[in-house]
Amino acid sequence: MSSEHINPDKCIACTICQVHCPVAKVTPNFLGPRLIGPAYERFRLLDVAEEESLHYCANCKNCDIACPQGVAIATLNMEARCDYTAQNGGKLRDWVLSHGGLLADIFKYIPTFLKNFGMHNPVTRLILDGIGISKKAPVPKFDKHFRLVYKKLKQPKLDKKIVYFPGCYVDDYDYQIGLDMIWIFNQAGYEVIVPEKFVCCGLPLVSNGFKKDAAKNAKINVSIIKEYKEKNIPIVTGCPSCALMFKKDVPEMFPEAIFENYSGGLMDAQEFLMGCVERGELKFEYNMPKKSIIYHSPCHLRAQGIGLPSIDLIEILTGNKVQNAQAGCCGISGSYGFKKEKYKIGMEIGSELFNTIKNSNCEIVTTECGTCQVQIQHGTNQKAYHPVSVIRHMVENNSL
Amino acid sequence: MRHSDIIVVGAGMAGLMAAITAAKAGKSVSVLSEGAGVLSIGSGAVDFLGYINGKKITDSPYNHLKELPENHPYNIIGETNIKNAFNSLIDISSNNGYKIKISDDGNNQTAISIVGTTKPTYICSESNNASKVLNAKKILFIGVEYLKDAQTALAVKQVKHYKVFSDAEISHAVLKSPFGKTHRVLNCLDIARYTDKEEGFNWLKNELLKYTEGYDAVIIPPICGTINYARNYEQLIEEGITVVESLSIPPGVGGYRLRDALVSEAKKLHVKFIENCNVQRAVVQNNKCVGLVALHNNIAGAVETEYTAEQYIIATGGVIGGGILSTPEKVYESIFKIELDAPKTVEDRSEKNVFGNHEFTKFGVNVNDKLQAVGADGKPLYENVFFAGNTLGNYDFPTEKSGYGVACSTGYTAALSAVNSK
Repeated sequence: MSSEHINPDKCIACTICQVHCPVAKVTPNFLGPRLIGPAYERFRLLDVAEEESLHYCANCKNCDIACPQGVAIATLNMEARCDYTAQNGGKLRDWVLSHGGLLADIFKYIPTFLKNFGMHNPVTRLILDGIGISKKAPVPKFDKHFRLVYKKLKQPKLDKKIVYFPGCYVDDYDYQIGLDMIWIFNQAGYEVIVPEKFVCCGLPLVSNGFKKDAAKNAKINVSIIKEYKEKNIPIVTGCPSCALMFKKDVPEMFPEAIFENYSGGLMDAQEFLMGCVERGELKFEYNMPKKSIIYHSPCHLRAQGIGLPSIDLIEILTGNKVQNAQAGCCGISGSYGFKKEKYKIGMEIGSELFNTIKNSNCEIVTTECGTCQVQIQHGTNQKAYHPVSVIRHMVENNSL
Repeated sequence: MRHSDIIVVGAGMAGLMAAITAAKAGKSVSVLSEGAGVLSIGSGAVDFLGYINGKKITDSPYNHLKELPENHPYNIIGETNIKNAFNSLIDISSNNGYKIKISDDGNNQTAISIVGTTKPTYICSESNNASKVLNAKKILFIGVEYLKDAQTALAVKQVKHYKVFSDAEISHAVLKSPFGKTHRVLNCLDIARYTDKEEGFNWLKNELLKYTEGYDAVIIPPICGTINYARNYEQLIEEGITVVESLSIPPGVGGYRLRDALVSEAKKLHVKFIENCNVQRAVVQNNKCVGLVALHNNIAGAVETEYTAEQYIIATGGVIGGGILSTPEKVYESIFKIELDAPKTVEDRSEKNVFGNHEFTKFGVNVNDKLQAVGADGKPLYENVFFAGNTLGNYDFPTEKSGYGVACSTGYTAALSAVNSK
């Protein structure tokens, strides 16, 4: 099924990935990345039945980050999960969790309060719990659909253009992040284009085993990326998981969708903004409030190999020091922590981060990833904001 | 910013020591790393020099440096740098929760492995130091149910081969697993993480007390916790159990504690970590490195980022770690593509005996006393680039048992050279 075979023999069985796997850390019922990934792949190649603990892998990519040999361990696991789902059918719960982008698109003209009443009333939550979405999990509330808001937005006419891939979280649950992103690019002299045809990046689909649907999405998105690359317009996203999907999973899993010069497809918006700072395109000369800020680095950002540009961005643009929590995975990993049988695992994984944030007594918590923000709020009762939103609030001197 | 005073490539023992040493001197430091480094799965015992030509060193390794070749990294950097580096490592680790030490007499200490072999080491935790039980009369090897890395019967059989234990009464016992039967076979780290919790520590203490009365040495796998190791070990000693932690096969737990301590120190010093960062090549102008080009996300064809600094420290490891590449045509350093002396044919680069003296372990860059790479004329190739750890040539870490010793001391020395250069 996989279009490009990943060689499991690059693995030297050193166990570094086992040591750094957040799931293996909290449950001895998961075989762990080395055994589920490269070791078991050899059995899969012989058509031996799937290993029963594969479902524990959260696709958080900490194994890939830890691996000294460059083995795409998480992708091996996701290919295996996709094969399994193709043969045995997926769970309704996993379909619902992974097709959020599609569902939200269908429902986007329904008023927000009605959607939220539909999704969040106790009866629905019980039904969802029944199909396997934990009733304790912090399933985010719908917000106004970002791209509907964008359509009505008046931007200044600027020479430089940039394409913004909002991602489902901004589109469906927090349109304000998208507006803040447009604001900061306008400040840097870029007019922001948000193509209507972009669909979900496909990461939730891959993580839940729906490879065919992910392939369709990859094809649509890559053709839009190609269109703008040919016009020399840069493409960015503020969501680390979407960025990682385009940079790593799409070329690895759907090489047929890739064109020459694809080179990762798009860029991390915060890294691009750091480039703006370095080129002198972006700076603010205001007195900004002094705040204590703690930052959580999403695993899918760390996996991109670009460091943590948001820390530099906040520090340079606002003059505030940022504390890097450096306390591992938050435990949500997209839709993983919403699942009934994974909720507790997710909360246990995130406990180190929650404690670090609580003990820091910082006034502002910031992280790029939408679901990390949701999980942090759930674990600490403190709202977490996207770094660009933090910068905007500081510049406009609003309190968060 | 993507510019720092000093860039370190590699996050193993040499890279972390270099980063911390440079950051302590007030420099802004970024660490570019691919993989989490072997430190996290090792035993945490730091070997200085265990053997020369197969002869075990039981006194101070400093007495034997002269027996090593002149171009051995230890002889290049000299005794003072080695001493200062080790003292610095001990301070850093101990200040961050993992107390390690040199023996009071400055001689090599003895550690016991999980399969009952012994080995000389130089710096280790008090729990790993088995020198204190070499005269024990009643020794107990402890295993844990479903912890397959600890085969206590095998360890007992093995340890009886040593003359020093020939008079001792040696037996073994297996603790009941706190997890019952699990889908994954347990490893030492699973149990160490469990004993970090109060419930887990109570399990360990109570299980041990069932078997340990009357024994003057109790050898357990490294399961005394990770972050709460110090508290746990001290409490077991207070309970009157003469506990020695053996060195385990990966994951070795001690290395996990040591890495945790070093990373904590680096965090305090605001060292920046750029993970999953595959450095492809250097940009060099007039004998100076002006940037390192790294591939995003380690995917061929992906976007590249250039990182710049005033000085660069290369601690990317040897042939196994990927810092040195061995191809049928040539052997070379992976970032600067420095061609290295090596046997022409691949067959001549290793020995048939796995435990023999392999040529490839000695592959590495030739350096001067500042750890700058030098050409055949002895002049530095790049004035602002310094090499550390297993990128260096002319030593055979597996047979000498000198791996972490060289990594620690050359990482430290490379940082001093970088800090002090104009």
